[in-house]
Amino acid sequence: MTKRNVYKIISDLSAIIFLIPTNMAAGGLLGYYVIDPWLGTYPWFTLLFVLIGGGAGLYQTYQLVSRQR
Amino acid sequence: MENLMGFTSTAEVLRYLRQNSAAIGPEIILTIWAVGVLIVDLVNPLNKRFWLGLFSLLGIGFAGFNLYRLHGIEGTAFSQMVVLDPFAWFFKVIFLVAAALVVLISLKYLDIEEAQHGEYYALILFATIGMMFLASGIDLIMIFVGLELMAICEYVLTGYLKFRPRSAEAAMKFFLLGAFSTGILLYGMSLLYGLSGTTSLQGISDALSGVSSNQPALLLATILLVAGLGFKVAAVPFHMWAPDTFEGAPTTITAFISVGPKVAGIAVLLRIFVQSMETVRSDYTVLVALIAILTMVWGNVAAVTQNNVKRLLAYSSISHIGYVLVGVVAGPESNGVFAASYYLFAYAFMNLGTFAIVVLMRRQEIQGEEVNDFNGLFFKSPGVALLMLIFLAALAGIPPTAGFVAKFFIFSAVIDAYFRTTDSLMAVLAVIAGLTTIIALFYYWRIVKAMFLTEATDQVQTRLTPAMTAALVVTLVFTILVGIYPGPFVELARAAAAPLQ
Repeated sequence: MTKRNVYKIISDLSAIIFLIPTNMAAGGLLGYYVIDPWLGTYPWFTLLFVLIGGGAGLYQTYQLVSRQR
Repeated sequence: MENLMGFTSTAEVLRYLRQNSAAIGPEIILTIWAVGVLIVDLVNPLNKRFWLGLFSLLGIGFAGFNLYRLHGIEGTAFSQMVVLDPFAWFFKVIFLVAAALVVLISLKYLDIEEAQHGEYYALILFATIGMMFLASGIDLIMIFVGLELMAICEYVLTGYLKFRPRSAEAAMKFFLLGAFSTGILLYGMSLLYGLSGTTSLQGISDALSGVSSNQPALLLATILLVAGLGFKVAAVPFHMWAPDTFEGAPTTITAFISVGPKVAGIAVLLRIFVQSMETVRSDYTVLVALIAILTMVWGNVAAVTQNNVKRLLAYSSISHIGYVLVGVVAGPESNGVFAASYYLFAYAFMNLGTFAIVVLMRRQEIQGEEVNDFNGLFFKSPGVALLMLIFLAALAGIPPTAGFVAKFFIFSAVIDAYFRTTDSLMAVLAVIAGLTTIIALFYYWRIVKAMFLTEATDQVQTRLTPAMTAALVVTLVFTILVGIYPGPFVELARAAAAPLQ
């Protein structure tokens, strides 16, 4: 493994800490500021989208780890 | 905390410890035993590590006996950190039985894998202690410590066969995703603490009783707690660790993590939500219902295409958690807590039985993990094939097995909830649960077809050891007994659900 590859792996893996929070935040903001005010359904879409964001974040983390074999 | 600060002498501290330690007697015994296993492994007087397993079993037996003596005693200990009630007692029984069965099926398996070490048994015991604290913890700190004790041991156990890349990879995935989900859960807990000013579940319940359920911080705490616990029980969409971890982990550990953490996760879910978050009942009910629907549908649909039995059983166990969550949604008024507890009890036996057969299929050079490896099993080992048939029938929910009665209680709870609340969500849940049960029949049938209707592709026999026979007999007896004579078990589960009513 070359030094360059090591740096690439480190940079890739360092993204891990942001995946779940950003996905959840994105889902939450979308639900809270866009869909729920629009449909008047607060808090259902906020709940749903934060949940989906969390799942998506975990899935991206899973994919990132799977790529580093 | 007042107690700790009020001590004036060592004698007082000792008296406090003596008065409180009885409540966690089984956990103390297991801790001593787990350390003992490590020491015995180090000294190794018999030079035969096989005995380590039997030594661990003895410890589980003593802990079980201690637990039996605690039956019917109720109270809290260690400044309201742990509780001794029928709910905790019931779940502790499941954990001890699961640990004992996993040790029994591991004895031969570890010989085949040439990996008989004391750490293995010690880690199983430590993980069991974590689960037991999860069942009895009534304080967020206690629950978190129990959760981590259980999870860290499981990460290590998943990567136990460290020279196998598959095992190491599974452990890595499990660890990373587990660590993040723990972070999510902890964030939820800290929000809950911020809102209520206490970590005690009873205190949280009191503090939240006057708070509006639409408060964003409370909603966020609910979502984060559901997401964190959803990961622990492998509910969709937080399930992606399960198939890979189940496939890569040693099969005996797969059996362990398919039961222990899931049962413990549901126990915590019930404690936190039913006991202390009544204010946000309507929010978490919808959330958990959504998760239950996704879990039942995706767990069953994804299992259909699997060729690896461990992956197939991983998806099957995901779907079973979906049914348990239906019980959680139905709520205590409709006997949902009872139904979920009963389901978990039955699930532990039928699932461990199925995995015991998969462990048995690991023979000579054959891994025994593919559906094809079961080809013609009936013609080679009719007894083993019939046992597998019974366990699969139980998982599918066919009478007169434990799985049928368990599913019956879940369905009756959700239908009762529908008539009680006339909430169409309950009807949707009941219909989806019914439909997905039919999908489940298909993939279990694939294994049955391989065993009974396909010609054998190899002639290597399965070999039953006394320990494996004992494990199979116990799981078989309970899988059938819980199905045809549910009375005593129903009483136990009803008593367990009573503190949460």
